[in-house]
Amino acid sequence: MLEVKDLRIEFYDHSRPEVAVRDVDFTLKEGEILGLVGESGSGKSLTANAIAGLIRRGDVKISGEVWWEQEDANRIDLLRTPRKTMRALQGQDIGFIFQDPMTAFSPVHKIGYQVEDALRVHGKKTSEEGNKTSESGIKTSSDGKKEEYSKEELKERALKALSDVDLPDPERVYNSYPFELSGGMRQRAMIASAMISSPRLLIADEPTTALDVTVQAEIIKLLQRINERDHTAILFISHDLGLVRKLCSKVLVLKDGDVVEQGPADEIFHNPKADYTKKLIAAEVNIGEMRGRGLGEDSVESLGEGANAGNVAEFQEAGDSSKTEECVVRGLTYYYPMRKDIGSISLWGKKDAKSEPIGIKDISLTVHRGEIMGLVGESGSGKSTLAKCIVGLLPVKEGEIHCGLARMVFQDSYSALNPKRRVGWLLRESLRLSGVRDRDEIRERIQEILGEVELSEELLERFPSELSGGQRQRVMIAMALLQKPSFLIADEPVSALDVAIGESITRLLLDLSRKRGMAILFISHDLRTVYSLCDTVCVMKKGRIVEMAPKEELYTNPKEEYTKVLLRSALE
Amino acid sequence: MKRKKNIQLYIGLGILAVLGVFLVLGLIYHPYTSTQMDAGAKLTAPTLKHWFGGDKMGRDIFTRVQEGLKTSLFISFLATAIGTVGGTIIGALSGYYGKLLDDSIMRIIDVLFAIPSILLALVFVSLSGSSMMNVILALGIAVIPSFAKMIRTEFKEQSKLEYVQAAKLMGASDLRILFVHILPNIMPTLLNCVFISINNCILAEAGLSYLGIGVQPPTASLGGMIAEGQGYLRMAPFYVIFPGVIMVFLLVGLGLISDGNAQTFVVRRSAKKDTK
Repeated sequence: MLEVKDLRIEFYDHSRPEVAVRDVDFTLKEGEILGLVGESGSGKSLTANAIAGLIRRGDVKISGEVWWEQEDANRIDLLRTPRKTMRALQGQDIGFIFQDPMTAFSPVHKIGYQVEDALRVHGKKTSEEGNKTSESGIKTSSDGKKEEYSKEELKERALKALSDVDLPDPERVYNSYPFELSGGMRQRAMIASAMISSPRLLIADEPTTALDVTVQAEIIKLLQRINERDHTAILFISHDLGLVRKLCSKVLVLKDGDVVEQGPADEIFHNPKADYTKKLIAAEVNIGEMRGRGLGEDSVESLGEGANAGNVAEFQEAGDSSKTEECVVRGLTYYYPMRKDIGSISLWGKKDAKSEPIGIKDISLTVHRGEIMGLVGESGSGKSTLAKCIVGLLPVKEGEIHCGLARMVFQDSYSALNPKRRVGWLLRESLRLSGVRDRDEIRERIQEILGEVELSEELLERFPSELSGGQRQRVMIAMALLQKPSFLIADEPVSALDVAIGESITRLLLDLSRKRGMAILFISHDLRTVYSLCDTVCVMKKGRIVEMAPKEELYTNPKEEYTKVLLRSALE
Repeated sequence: MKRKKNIQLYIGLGILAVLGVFLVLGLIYHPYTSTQMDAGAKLTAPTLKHWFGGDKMGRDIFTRVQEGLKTSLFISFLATAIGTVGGTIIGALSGYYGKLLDDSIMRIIDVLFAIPSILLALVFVSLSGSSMMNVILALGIAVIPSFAKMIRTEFKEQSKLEYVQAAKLMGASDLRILFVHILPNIMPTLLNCVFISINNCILAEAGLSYLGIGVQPPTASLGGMIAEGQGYLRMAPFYVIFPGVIMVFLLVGLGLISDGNAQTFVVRRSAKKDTK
């Protein structure tokens, strides 16, 4: 149905041409699910966008062929079709699901209107009335005009599409604005809007990355069902091998724009040929080891070579008196200031029911020297707010924080590193700001830290945008470490990275905590990573800590219902 | 491809290069001073002796246009420098600190915006007397509001980004964050502001000179020459045409450069977004 041949995408950014995607070949048959795997920047999204015709020509040069077989067995090359034909296909035969449904929906239109849009634009599929498709591929009825849906028909179809994606109360969703829905509901609505015209190909660009684990699993199930029911082919793009394994029948692995390996999913997962694939899968297995071994005691030993477990034991043996407290938080409460004019919009007579302030409430926790504490919870549960309060980015009025020198590693290394400064400058600045003036000392310290975070010296001359995601994250860690903090807060440091690189970063953090006896607060929504890294785990929900326990206890014997739900969806 | 995108920039640079050659020519070939009078050349058309003709007092227009160009550039560069420094500082503080400071600064600027900047300069010059220094000061102050407004938006945008928070965490002082961390990131906007402001200053200076309160005679300025020459439009059209044409070249050249500059910047930024 879809055949991609020698697809090549080049950029003309600076004076030199940059090849972003090199010679990608694959075929996709009706009813198949192809997983496109690779780290960020490997060209996954570019490939998908090129197929869907979403790349503006001019900025990039695309060569190769993308053959699309139409329903009447006509084959057209999507890269060379006129804009008009392409438009007729977009949203009609090819549906697209974007990563972030918040930005992909227009904020000022109601969901219902946007879900209907594909139908409104394309009109009725004339094949339903038995007309032939015209030669150019644009479906037209006999008088050459699109037949349009009536308002009632539109609404009926939209409501059906919304209920098809398991949205409760489609009528309400239909009349909501995007911001009134939760992330998971928005993504479902997004899928509904892509599926309403029953496309034959659905391109899903990281559809679950912005969602929580619990919701992730449901969305994957939904995609599976759509595929089985309508025989829709799906091009599924993800950096999460676990999801790809669950969903896809075929897999294509991309690295730096090159196809590393492709084939049936079973073969790739059980018998990977390329080194890169092996590494990816090994990392995945390593992190997910607990799944295979159950949650027994021995798995603790095998993970992190038992080192951090031993670490804790050591401290515990030494008795409570020597357990130095690195960071103590007591009764911390912080609410984001609400603007009066926004807090209670009553312009349309709607009293804002949820005028409950957003923030964190009555948080108490203690992190000891050398301890790694995991902080889990879905997005919006206040994890980052807590982190920012501890390091002092948010002014705390209620509660106490006693803490040594705390530094933070941010989630998005892309925006957290100054884009106009070279890596060397950033590292030097970190030292300068902590009061080191001597040039020789600065050079020495930087040499030292580069070895510690495993970065090569030639990177010093580069700008952050010229680094890979993993390298950027290492630079961030190096910048934090140069200031010799005794407490490090890592806010989702690996969630934007692929598994192999993510694992190497967590291992680095583990090493650091062991070597320096540094306390770490590790924020994540991935319970598997947390398990492999942390000693104690804190679960947050709606701004409160609902459960806090040593790792083994929490994972084997969760007390709170919410923790159980989180665990179940993570281990499924 | 890149060449095509930058075509405006190249044309702009080309035009300025021609003007540069024109100025250099004056260094090599200068038989007259700008105030030297030649009774025979009064209001004449271009001749071999006087390439651009002579003005009402028989002074060489070629020499005077060169001097006028120099005056215009000098004034507008210095005025823009004042505006850049002042506007950037005000905009940075306003955008970064926000809240009450931002509100009060922006309201004052809104008020200033309501009055055309040429009028502001006019009032300033007529109060303090019209020397070249005063004209520069007046124009410099007059462009501060628009600078501040543009720069403020940029600083506001940037201060929301995480790298600013990261710098804050590392213990950087506010001033350091503003001018060492953020400033390089807004350079493209700042550069554009500078070009636009140079353009505006040239126009405003010409306007002031035309009204007779800019640079005082006998110093030549492009605006002043046009004002002098308009009375003799019939008899000696070249009196007005030459300074006018030079000014148009200058403005178009600078305009093209700032456009081209903006375009490459926008293209780069969007390309980066795509790759991300």
